[in-house]
Formats: sequence, structure tokens, C-alpha cells
Amino acid sequence: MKLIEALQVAHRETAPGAAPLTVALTCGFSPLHLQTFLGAHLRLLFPDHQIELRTGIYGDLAGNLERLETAKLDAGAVVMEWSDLDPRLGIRRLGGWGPSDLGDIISNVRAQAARIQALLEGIAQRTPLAFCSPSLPLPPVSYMPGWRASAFDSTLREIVAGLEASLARRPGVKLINSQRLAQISPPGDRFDVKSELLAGFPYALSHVDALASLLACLIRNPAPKKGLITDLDDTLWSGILGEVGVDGVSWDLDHHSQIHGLYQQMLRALAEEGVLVAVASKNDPTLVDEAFRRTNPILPLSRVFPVEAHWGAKSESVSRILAAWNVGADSVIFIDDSPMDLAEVKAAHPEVECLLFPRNDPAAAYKLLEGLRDLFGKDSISEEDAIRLESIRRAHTLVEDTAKGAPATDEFLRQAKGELTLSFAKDPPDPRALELVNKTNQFNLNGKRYTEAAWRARLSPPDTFLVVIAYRDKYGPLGKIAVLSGRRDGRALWVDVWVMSCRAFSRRIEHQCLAQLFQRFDVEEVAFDFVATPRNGPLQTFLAYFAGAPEPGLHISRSTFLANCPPLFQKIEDP
Amino acid sequence: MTHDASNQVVAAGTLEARLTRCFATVFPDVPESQIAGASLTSVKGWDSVATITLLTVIEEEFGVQFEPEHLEQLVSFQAVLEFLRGRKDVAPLHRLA
Repeated sequence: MKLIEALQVAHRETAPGAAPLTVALTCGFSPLHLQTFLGAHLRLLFPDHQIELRTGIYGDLAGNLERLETAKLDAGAVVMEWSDLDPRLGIRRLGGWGPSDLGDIISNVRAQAARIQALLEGIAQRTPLAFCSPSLPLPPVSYMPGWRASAFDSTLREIVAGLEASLARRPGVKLINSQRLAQISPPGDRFDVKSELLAGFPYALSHVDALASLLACLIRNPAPKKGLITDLDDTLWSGILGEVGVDGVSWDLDHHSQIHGLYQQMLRALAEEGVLVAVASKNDPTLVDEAFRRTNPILPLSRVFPVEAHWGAKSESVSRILAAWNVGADSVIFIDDSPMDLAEVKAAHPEVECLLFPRNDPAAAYKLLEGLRDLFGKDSISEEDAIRLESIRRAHTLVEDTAKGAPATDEFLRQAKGELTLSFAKDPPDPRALELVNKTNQFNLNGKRYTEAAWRARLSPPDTFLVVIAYRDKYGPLGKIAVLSGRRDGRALWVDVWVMSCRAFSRRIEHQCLAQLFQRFDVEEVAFDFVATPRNGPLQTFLAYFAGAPEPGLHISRSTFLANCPPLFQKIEDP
Repeated sequence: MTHDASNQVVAAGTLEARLTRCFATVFPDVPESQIAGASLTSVKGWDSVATITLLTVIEEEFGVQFEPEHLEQLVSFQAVLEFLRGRKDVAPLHRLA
């Protein structure tokens, strides 16, 4: 993006009633074009928000951070440069670059880094932060030639690396990956000496654009994709199974097919991180089963569900996989080496992101792996991630058993021995709660999404409640699968957040949630901030059972609920 | 539609039209018909930050480099226009599309 384009984007009018998004841009240099570019990138990533960027005082990063401690913000973007750690590491001050200064500079940098770290950690407890450590080259302070790494330079980088490692472990701080920044903004092109001397702004425009785009991305923190559907022949492995046989497929250096091994390795890692992985292949199913069992692939069959191997259209396989997973098409990636199959799937499922596996181009295939990391990357791995695939597999088995004449629903639920654990802790809020709220579509009261700061702010009044519900039964745990939040209003309860994972459907967990609200809060009525969305049909069906066609302002009385609620068999526990 | 100092319509793609676009972007509150007469004294909000932003946008648009003394000299639309007309190294429009 050019500066003129950034200005045009930043000046675009926002829709009336757009929600405010207040972000503090904190740096020690003049924010100048960084403010413009960050504003523009935030506008592009938050099109429904009114962006307000606040800046601080020139030359005082630590002071600006101190002032952030009491500010009410949705997010902070903190950009640190070497001159913030010691002004002698910039070019606007003349404090000395002599050998006798080096030790003092290191001491100063160490102390200032510790001060900034403490400030950032304090702020991050309330406000989510995006942080960038020094991205400019160090000035020629050390007495060694520039092609040789000096102990001075290395020590400074070690101090900053220590700061980064510590901050990266904090859930409230997200750091720009310096490797990614270097890919899109070569280090040698970043420093604009003239601009720094003239205006106190040290970055070349191309670097500001790159930096601002990554900061905005960290603040936006896009929801990761949930599932990956892969082809087999010349994708998961090299070779056409039907032609070369089980012993002919490969994914190793010896057969010059290592890129397929790397792809399997990535898929296995994703599966272990909670990503759903399925197969859609035009193949003989018996042969596919044999290949998985005999060849011991890096991605084992136990990590894959379902496997759609037949000679029908891939789009039909994708339809069945989406149904088995019960996730939206827009959260799924389909990978195949055949442009024709990709086009066929895309035509039937336009929301599925279809990616080509470039089997004859290792560099492009490696780029695909990097792209997968971006699409599926997440903040942390939860207990739910570890059990997701197994619970979906079990749910699928249950549906099949029911179809084959398994016990009636009541009897089935009774013998399942379900247990619900309700946690009312809200300070600090369980991070799983916000994750569920921001990614659940089908059983979602109104589709509202929250930034981390907005979520914390809505929970801070003492009369608000938060319930996080976990479920397990004799078939195994589902983990934390539902979230309710709202406030008490006299003899009624106002609920404006209610989400439940689709993995938890058909167990009357939603009925039990409502029963628990009436019981625990001892209220006569529960009112809902209900909004119909294109995706929340399952929730609407549930509410309609008690209150007719759901509309905004919907409420359910205790007597209506008790008169219509089917038998509930779950045991209730508090954590 | 772009206007010159005598409020005549200026053809798209000319130096004047391109400069008007730069001014209109940096000073979105100034009506386009008044940009040809814009100056440091007539435009509310034309401060030192706006000067640097404007000159950086012009550097990007026309592929020229300003010197520090230009910050004090190029303080009106007409001054910048004259400066650009005097340069042989102004980048043509197609370079910037």
C-alpha cells in the first residue's frame, strides 16, 4: 500500500453506528506515517468499526507506556526501537560511540529493557498488546567491521531476545515475528536516514506498510480455520495408488518425494493441535485402507476422519465430510493436486478455500506449508483441541447407531451417564470462553464477536455473570463446550451471550443450561438478546420449542420451561 | 473533476490533476475547487505534520526527492506545482498506477 492509498483508506467514512475500536499506538519516535498506515490497515481488517488511534509523547516510550496503564483501550500497538533502549543507539543524539561508551550502553539497554518489560506485562493484564521489537539495523557503534558480529551487537540482541521470549509467554502480548517481517520488508531497506533527521520518523514507507500490516493482523487475531480435507495421490503421497500399488507410493528423500513427507508431517502436527483432517480421494477404498495400514504414513489413519475414498465426485465427499464435522464450509481448506477437482469442489462449495498442492514445485509446496501455518495458527492449544477429533468420531458413531435402531433418545441419554461441570469464575475469565464465543456460529444467540478488551470490559461489572460449561459422558470428555453470560435484573435474568459447540448437540445440554439458570439464579424469567443470523438455525429451533418463532426481546418463563422441558439425565458438578 | 487556479477543469493525468489528487488526499476537508488556491495560511490543519505528509505523498507520486529547505518553501499548491514543472525527472503517470 502506498501512503496516498493509506490516507484514502484512513479517511473513508465509517457506517453510522459503527462500534468504536480504540487503539493506542505507542512508540518513542514520531508516529507520523505509522499512524496513517496502521489506521488504514485496521480499517481494512475492522470494516465495521470506527477506528480511533491514540498516540503519545515524542521520545518517551517508557513514559507513554506508563500513561497506557490507566487508559481505556481495546488494544495497544507498541513499537520499540534501539534508541528507546539507549538514545545513543539512534542518530538524533550525540552521546558518544567510543569504546569507553559500549559498556555503559549495554548496562543502560539492560535496565531499560527490564523497565519496558515490566510495563508491558502490567498493561497486558488489562489490554491486549501487539509488540514489535527493534526492526532497524544497529548503528555502527561497535569498533568491529560491519561484516563481523561483535560481542557488543550480540549482547544487545541477546537482551532483546530475552525480552521477546518473556513477552511471548504472556497471553496478553502478541509479538511480530521478525522472520515474517524480514520476508516482506528486507532489513537493508528499512531505515530512512533523511526522514529520521528531518522529522524524527525513522522508517522507509515500504517498511511502515509492512510493519503496520502485521501489527493490525496481531490486533485482529483472525479466527483459525477448523478443518483440512486432503487428496491422497500425488498430494498426501507421491504416486497414483491404483497404478503403482501400496508399495509404490512414497514420501521420502530416497524417492525424491520428501515434500509429501513434509506435508504429512504438517498435517499430523495440525491434527495434534486440534485441526480436523479428512481425506477426499478418487480411489479404491480397500486399497486406501491397505495403504494407510501397511505403509505406516507420518499422518496415521487414527488422525484422519472421515476418509472418503470412492470414484464419485469430490464435491460429494466434501459435503459428507462437512456434515460429519458439522462445521461451516468457510472454516475449511481443501487441498488437491488437480486443478479440475479443485474447481469442481469450489463450484459446489464456494466458501471452502481450495488450494493447489504443487507436486512438481518443492518451493511452492513449502510455501503452501507456511500458508497452512497462517490459516490454522492459534494462540494456544487447549484440552478441547486434543479431544476434538475423537468426540466427533464418537458423535458420528452414535448417529449411525441410532439410525440402525439403537435405544430411544431418553434411554440412550440415561445410559450415557452425562456429567456437566459449571464454572462461574470470571476473574480472570477462562480464555476458552472468548474463543468459543468468537468461533461458534450454529448455536449462537446473536452472532456477536468481541475483542479481548471488550470481553473483559463486559464482564467487569459485579452484576454480570459468566458460566463456562464442560461435558463428559461414558464415551469420553467433550471439554468446555458452552458459554453463557449476562446479568441479573430483579426476578429476571438477562442473557446476551449463549454459545454451544456443535459437538455437543443432541445431548440436551442446552436444556440443562437453561434449567441451571432458573435454578441457580432463582429467577422467574430468562430474557435473551436474540438476533437471527444466517447461521444460528439450530439455536432458533431450540428456542422455538419453548417460545414460538424467536424474535428480538424473546423471553422464557420458568413455568413454560418446566412444562415443556424433556427429561434431563446429566449429573451436575461444580469445579 | 479537477480545477486549476482560474477554476477551469483540468484534464486527468496532467501534472496539475495528479498534484490536486495528492492535496485532496492529505486535506480531505478542502473542496477540490479550492485546492488550486490552497496554502499554509488558507488551509486549516496545514501544520508541520501535514507538510511532511504532503511532501512524502508527492515524493511517492512523482518520484522526486525534497530537501530540508523545501519544507519552508513549498507551502502552497502553486509553489509545489511550479517546483514540479521545473523538474525534468518527474515520474510519468504509468509508473505509479
